[in-house]
Amino acid sequence: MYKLISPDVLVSLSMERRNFLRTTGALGTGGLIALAGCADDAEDDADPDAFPTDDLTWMIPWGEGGGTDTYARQLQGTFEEEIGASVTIDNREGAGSMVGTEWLTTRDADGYTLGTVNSAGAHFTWRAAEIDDWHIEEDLEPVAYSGVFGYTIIVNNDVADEHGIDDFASLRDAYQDEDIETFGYQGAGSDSHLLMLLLRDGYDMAYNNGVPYDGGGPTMEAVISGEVSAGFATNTSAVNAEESGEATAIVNTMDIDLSDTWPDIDRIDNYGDSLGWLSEFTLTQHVPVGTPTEVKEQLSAAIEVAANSDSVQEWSEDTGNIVQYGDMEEAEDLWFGIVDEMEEQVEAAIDGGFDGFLALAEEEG
Amino acid sequence: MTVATFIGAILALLTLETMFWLLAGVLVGIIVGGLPGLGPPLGMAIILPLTIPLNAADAIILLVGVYSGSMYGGSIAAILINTPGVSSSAATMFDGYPMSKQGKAATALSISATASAFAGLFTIAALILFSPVLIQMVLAVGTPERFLVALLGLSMITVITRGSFAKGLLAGAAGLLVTTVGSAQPIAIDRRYAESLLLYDGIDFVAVLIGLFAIAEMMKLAGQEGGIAEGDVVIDRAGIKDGIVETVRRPVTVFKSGMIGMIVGAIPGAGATVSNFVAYSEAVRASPDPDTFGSGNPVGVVASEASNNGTVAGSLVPAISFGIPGSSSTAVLIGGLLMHGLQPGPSMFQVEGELGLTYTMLLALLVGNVVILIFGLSAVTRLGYLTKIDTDYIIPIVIVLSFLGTYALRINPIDIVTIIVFGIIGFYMVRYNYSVIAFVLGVVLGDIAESNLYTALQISGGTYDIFYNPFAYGRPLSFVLTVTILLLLFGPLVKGQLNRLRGE
Repeated sequence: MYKLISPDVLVSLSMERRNFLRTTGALGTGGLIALAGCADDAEDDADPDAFPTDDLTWMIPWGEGGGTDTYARQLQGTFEEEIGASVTIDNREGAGSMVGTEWLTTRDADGYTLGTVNSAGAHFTWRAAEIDDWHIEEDLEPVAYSGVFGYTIIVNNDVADEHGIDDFASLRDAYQDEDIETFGYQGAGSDSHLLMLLLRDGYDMAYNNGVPYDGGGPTMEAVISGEVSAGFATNTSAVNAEESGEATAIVNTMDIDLSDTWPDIDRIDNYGDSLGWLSEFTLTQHVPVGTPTEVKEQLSAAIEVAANSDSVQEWSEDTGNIVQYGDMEEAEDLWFGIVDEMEEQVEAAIDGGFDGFLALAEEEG
Repeated sequence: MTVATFIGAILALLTLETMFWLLAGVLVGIIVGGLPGLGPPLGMAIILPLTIPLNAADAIILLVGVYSGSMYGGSIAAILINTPGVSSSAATMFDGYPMSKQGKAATALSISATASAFAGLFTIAALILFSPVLIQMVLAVGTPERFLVALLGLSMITVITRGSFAKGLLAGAAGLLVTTVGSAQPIAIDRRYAESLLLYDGIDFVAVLIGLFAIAEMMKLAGQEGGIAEGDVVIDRAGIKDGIVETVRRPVTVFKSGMIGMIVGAIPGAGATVSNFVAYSEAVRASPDPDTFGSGNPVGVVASEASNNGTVAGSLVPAISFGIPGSSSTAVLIGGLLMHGLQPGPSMFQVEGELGLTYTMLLALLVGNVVILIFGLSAVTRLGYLTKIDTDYIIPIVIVLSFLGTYALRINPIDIVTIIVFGIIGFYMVRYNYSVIAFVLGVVLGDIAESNLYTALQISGGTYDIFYNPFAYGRPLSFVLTVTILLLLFGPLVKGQLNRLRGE
């Protein structure tokens, strides 16, 4: 039917786990003592003025060591200092982030549980999974965003040298002339699959053979090794690809400017409309619907301080990860109405709209 | 200059603080690895945020220490209670646990420590010496080769199956069937049942392993009086010495298994679990007495334990040279590198880049293996006494640990159902002589085989010559692997025919 694979995944990890269980599993009775403490704090938890009186849980719907997880762990220390409470990162991986996101929608709306869910990747995945039990926009409330990432196109260096590929025009020409044939993407039915189809139909990137891989890591590996000529990599992974000396990032498919990292990188919007609605993701922090506004503002302010801290900014400069704070209003702008917009965009690009795309993905699979 | 960099790395390692983090990492790893379900990725993930205040070298050393320690630690539960502490210790159970039942737990644990340490030592040394070759090898292994490695593992069913061959094949096929639940990764086919998101990623194979071995064995033990060991349990120097001797007198098995671990570990997506089974199967194939495997043959423990620690060295190659996460463990390691401002890439192997840090990390792993040897022989072997404890106490403890460890895998209630169901299946498979090992091979390799088969055929446009024609796609390794598989499958048949013809 479809795939739930997000570009976020620097890695595809098969491990979802909860720090609470780790410690209680290892330490036994300590967990019971902690639970007893939680019961005492129940009344305070309901009072936004007293927030926070207990530890917080920061849910990440991806595995440890992945892009979203790394961002959260970078922010964690300063965020804890600002909010005045200990914060546990809780990785709940599964179903392309939908398992953790669904879990977040079921938590108490008291501010003690927040999570990072990425717009618009989560919107795409939610729509592709045809989830009816909860709504990606109606059951979560954004409080801030803290970073941006998205797709670039990387090309194998030997291929680039042989065919003189250094921007989108030369890549497009190489495909049209059948000098090269293969393009790697991150699984049939994924957002990268749709993005590839849009590049073919709207931007004349006439590849002969789109090759699906099991996530971002394998796609990058395939380009590096020359198994496919070119493919998608997130801007963070593309730094790794370039460091390998075997591949080069040549096209930025996002709206955000990447010239600090790659001064010469081409932009897809030089060749047509922006594709940022599909290819760019914001790391948005959410709480369950009904969380008091004062609490959301506190959380947002703490995220702002953490994102702008020297240590995080230094990490950003060192690694190419884009750290960028957006307040509650800006986060809401990037969160609400996205599903409808996505439906309209896909409707305009693909026969049968989103359902047509899913049927096409299933047919190709 | 490389020599100067190497000496600098030695000096960097030999500081009190760095050695402390190394020791702490290995010991934490052994404990985490010894607990069912809690493998190296989880141990490393727990440690990851704690490394933030450390300098980059100490942080990475702590992480790889946990990685290496937990690879060894997984054997403890495998040998003592028939539960894979980590999935890469699954094959250790096949002969390690029968040794425990025979009262030879100390010997089995001693073999595990010695084989793990020796294989760890020489594979890390090989990595230091031959890293440029290994880096090139990683690039030569692509999607078709990964499928063929999985197929090679599956074809080992013919080698390791004892008794009815048809039952072995049936068990292997049933194992493959388990992997069809959920979605096949690169393909847009959804095979969930009841549209549950919890089944989207399929059935976790570690939960299957814990069910098949730990739960099934506890069901069996419930009808047994006394401890796990059926005879006297002797924990003395002689038993430990026996373990060392059993390992040392099999240098070929240690070397071969360690190299299998290293090479398969360097293949992203294959990893320690696959190498574990391949090395074990190869030991069975090469043995003059294959029928003794599965009933306490020490060679089985040597092969399995040498391979999983060899995998550590191999898996570091794609991780630090290309930033390719070949496994969950190395994915967390890459996260650690990035967290400390280090960018994986060839610069990690270049003098003008981070070669000094890479050398320090590899030397730390060398020393870590010495720690494993000393700690394993002196302290862990004492745990053999656990096999004397009455099963009335052991069974509930193992069951609780299995449930907790399994739930901690993904915080997914489906995994709890999985261990119960596969516990029952495992119990009856043993009772009716169906090969559990063949079943496990199917479960472990099914996903790898399916996704890579699909992608390889997509690359070739649907033609199968990508797997055997060395000229069409410039993939000589595919050809070699295909020939190996054919030899493995049909070699004994051809040999038998030839012998018969000669006889006539």
